[in-house]
Amino acid sequence: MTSSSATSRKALSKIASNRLQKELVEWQVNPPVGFKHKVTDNLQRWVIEVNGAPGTLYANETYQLQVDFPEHYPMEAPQVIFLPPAPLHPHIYSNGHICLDILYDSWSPAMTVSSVCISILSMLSSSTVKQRPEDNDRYVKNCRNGRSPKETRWWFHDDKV
Amino acid sequence: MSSSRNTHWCYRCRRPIRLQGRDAVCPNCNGGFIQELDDMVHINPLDFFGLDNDEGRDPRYRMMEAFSALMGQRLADRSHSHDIRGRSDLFSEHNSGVGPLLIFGGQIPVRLSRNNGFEALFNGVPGIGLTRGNGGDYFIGPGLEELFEQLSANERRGPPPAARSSIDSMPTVKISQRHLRSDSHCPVCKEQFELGSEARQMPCNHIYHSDCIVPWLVQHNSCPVCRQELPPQGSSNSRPTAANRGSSSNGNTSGRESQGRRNPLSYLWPFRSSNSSSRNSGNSPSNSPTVRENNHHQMGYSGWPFD
Repeated sequence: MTSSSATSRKALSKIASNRLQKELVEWQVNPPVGFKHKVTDNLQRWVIEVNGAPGTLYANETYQLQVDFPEHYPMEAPQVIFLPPAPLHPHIYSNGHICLDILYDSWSPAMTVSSVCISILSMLSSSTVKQRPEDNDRYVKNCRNGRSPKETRWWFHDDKV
Repeated sequence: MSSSRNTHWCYRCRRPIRLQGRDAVCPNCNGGFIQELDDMVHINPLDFFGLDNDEGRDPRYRMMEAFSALMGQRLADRSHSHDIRGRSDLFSEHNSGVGPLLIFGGQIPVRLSRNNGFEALFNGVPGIGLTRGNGGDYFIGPGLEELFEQLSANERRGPPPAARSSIDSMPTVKISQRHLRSDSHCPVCKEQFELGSEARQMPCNHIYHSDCIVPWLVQHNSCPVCRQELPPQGSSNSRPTAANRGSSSNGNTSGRESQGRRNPLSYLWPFRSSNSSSRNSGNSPSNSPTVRENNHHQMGYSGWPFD
């Protein structure tokens, strides 16, 4: 579907694998509302279905998140993108990249897939307009060759939308 | 070349010299910042740059070649499409890990270069250079901060590291019933704490397994749960970056700065510029942040979930 981020990923470390297994179990017991993990045997890549929250611009719409975990998760953030078609949102680029601080500079190892999902849904829900980021075309053009959003120097200053 | 040729290059005089006696110093300036010429040129880099070969062993070209190799390798590592291309395949023997940094003053020797895309960094004014351990890799130019930023873009993100001494002096606590009631799990590995086992306590009272929190703090001085920093230990080793980060009310600081996001290697920079936004060459910093570079993205959403 997408260019599966050209770089060949290193296998999960033991620590990462343990932690992800715990998260998976926790998810099964207590999944975040509005999300569905599409089960595969690949612990390192999760595909998660997102349902737009009722009463928001994205109600009754379904999108897919792809979460790729680095070798040293959770010391490093997972790479999280929307699979196409990505929702129309001022902070979501048409290539699925998400401008959300906790995915990059503000990542913390106390965060989980579940908490990231909730942040993303909250970002969707607070949107008042369905549109692409102003610099969408330029950014997407710069990201050819399957560049990871984690290599972007994001510039966060708007926490209202 | 004649047999009485020069044997070394003096970086201070910026010309080839011939050693006299056994001391490794320049006979002209008495400086010790010299390098053996044979060390410096493995292939003829002039072909590489398409320049006239009138000074066959001029190490100036060697610098650029090495720099290009350095950049090429780093960028290749990051595997995406920058304009800066190097020939790391030709020079990979120089790229033996990062040694200590040595910083020296210098003059940009020539303007680089038609096809190699370094113009942005080498723009022909006096600058600063840098060499790594074995003297193999150099950078010369006014854009060293930009260079650091590029090299580190994929490595150090977020808050700067905690000082080792601060980490070491973080108290160790024994897990008691009281702990288990409030913090039953380590926030990093999500494993349950065991009664009577040891954990490390941050100043904000959040506790972690030592093996969970230390690898994080050596990268980022920030409590994973509440983002509080470890205080610097003693006064001598407190880096200004850590101390200044709280004071964001200064109207002159750029948006980047006031959010505590700065060049992650800026503490290595010995010549503190008065305005950290030197990367915005040309654009005077304005109060309202705008998109400053192609790959800076202004808009975003703050999703911190622990407040």
